[in-house]
Amino acid sequence: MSIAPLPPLSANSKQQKSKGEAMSIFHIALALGGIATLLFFFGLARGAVAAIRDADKTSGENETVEDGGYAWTAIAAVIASSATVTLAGISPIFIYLGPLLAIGSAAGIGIAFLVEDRK
Amino acid sequence: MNKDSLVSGGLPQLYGYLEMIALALVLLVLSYTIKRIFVRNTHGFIIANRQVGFGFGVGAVISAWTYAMAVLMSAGMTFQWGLSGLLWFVVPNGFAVMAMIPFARILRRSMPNGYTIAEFIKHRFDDSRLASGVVTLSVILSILLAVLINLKGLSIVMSVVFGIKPELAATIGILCILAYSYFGGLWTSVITGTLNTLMLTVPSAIVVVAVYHFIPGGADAVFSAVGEANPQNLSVLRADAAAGFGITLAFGLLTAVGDQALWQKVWSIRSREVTRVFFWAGALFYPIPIAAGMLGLVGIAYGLTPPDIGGDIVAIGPYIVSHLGLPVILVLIYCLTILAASYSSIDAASSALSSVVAVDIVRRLWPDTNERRLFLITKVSILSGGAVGLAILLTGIDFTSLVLTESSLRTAILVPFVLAIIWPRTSTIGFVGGVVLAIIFGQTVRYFHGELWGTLTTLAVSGGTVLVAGLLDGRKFDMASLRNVRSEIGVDSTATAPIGQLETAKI
Repeated sequence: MSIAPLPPLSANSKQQKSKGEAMSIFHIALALGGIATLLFFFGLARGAVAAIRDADKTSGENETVEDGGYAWTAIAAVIASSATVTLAGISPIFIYLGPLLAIGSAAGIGIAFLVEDRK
Repeated sequence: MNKDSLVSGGLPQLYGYLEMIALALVLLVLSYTIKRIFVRNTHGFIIANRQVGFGFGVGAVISAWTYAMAVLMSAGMTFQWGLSGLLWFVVPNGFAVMAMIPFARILRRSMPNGYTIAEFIKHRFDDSRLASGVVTLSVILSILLAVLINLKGLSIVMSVVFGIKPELAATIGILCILAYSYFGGLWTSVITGTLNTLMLTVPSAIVVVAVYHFIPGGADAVFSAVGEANPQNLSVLRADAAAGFGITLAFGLLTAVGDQALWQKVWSIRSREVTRVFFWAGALFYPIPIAAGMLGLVGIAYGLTPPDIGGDIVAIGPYIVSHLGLPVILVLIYCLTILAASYSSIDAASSALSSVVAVDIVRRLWPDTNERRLFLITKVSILSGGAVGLAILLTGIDFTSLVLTESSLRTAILVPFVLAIIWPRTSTIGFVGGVVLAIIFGQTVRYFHGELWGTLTTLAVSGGTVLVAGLLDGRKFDMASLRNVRSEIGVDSTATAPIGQLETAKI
């Protein structure tokens, strides 16, 4: 493997514009990542406090599971993930969609702590 | 865009060792703290007193399911098959987690005091030692395989990025993981796993975006080069990807329904939260491999071939990240995400092993074992599992045979296990006969006609046998009777013991 700096691939205007887009997306990703991380730790802290408070509890092991009816939502998640991959093959801008959604996943976990049933 | 523009990727080995050990030290401190707060006895150690809430449940399921190899393979499959490879890898992966929901709801409601799936099979089939023994064997093999697969993922990254010998990386890695897994049991696994999930999302995504940011021309240049290499790379409709690995992988992933690491979560999460935990986990999991998969496109764009990256396509992710000339901190962060995936998945597997050893082996063979000894054995089983996994990796014992044995067992058990949950007519003879015949016929067909036909035969024979035997037998099992199954770890151990008494139960 040769050791060489990365040369510019081409200097056409479209790719220069793309570089500008990539820079802004990089900074957007950093900003969103920061927000998601804060949300994650905020939720985690609340979840940890609640878990420590309940550490000595033992559950009533005969409680029933609630009925959710998540089938359609699960199918929607499958379709959304397929669409995310498909879109990456339609336009280069959608290559960034997966990473941005991954940042959203961290925020989602933080939210999960906040909406948890503490009964 | 060509591979000659890539740079030499080796970082000092010391960075790799420091990264592995530093992460382990942080997790060790955390797990010791968790142990002090949460772990009182065996019940707490292996099932977290069934008090895991929604947030920790979602994080823990994602971290247990996100193998290091899953992160690496998503890029590898994209590298090999284009976006079709990514689609076939990602979609069944997340769906497998959500596919747990109907079965989890039934079993958690029917058998609220459960710990393991082998325990369920034992009670479902009149204490059949054969039926539960087959499932126990399958579960233990799949846990060992999970350890092996994750160690392999870890060692690939450490060797590609830092030039550390894979065997040495695996040895240090497993020692690091066992050091903290040993202390806290399921609570440790849940909390450290949730933290590791953060690593798998934000830093991982930022590194992928940074990769495109640092490539001259960015996503446009990569997109163009990938399309020029082969327009099919940008399509998700390649039939050869589906036939080559997609369909077989999809069935293989659906065997997650028999994954004890996930079932342990089912029985440890608060019962009201089980359904939505698995739904949220499946949905939030999806973006992780999709993001990682985008590194595979970069590999195609640079015209890399498997020999360029050491022959193993799963090395494409770490190869790209370490050969683009990214700032060292970004390369280290990427490696940290793979380490996090590896550590948390092995930790979850170790925790699952501890539940199987306590409930399906010790309690079954030596029911009079006292709490203190059970606690000790349970903790030692974690070390033993890691040691056996490492030994298999280091001694070169036929890894392929283990994978095939585990895969055939899991696939053969899939339909009978599902029917045992949802079809009351499933009988003992049907369950055992279905599993045994499916292995015999499935493996024979697989040998002569390949992976896909072997898998389909296994599923058809196992399901058909259960259905025929159930219809002939005619008896119905009352799932409600499972509610009377008492907690295997005992009522005493679910009660909070005085602190002084607890200390005697600790090692």
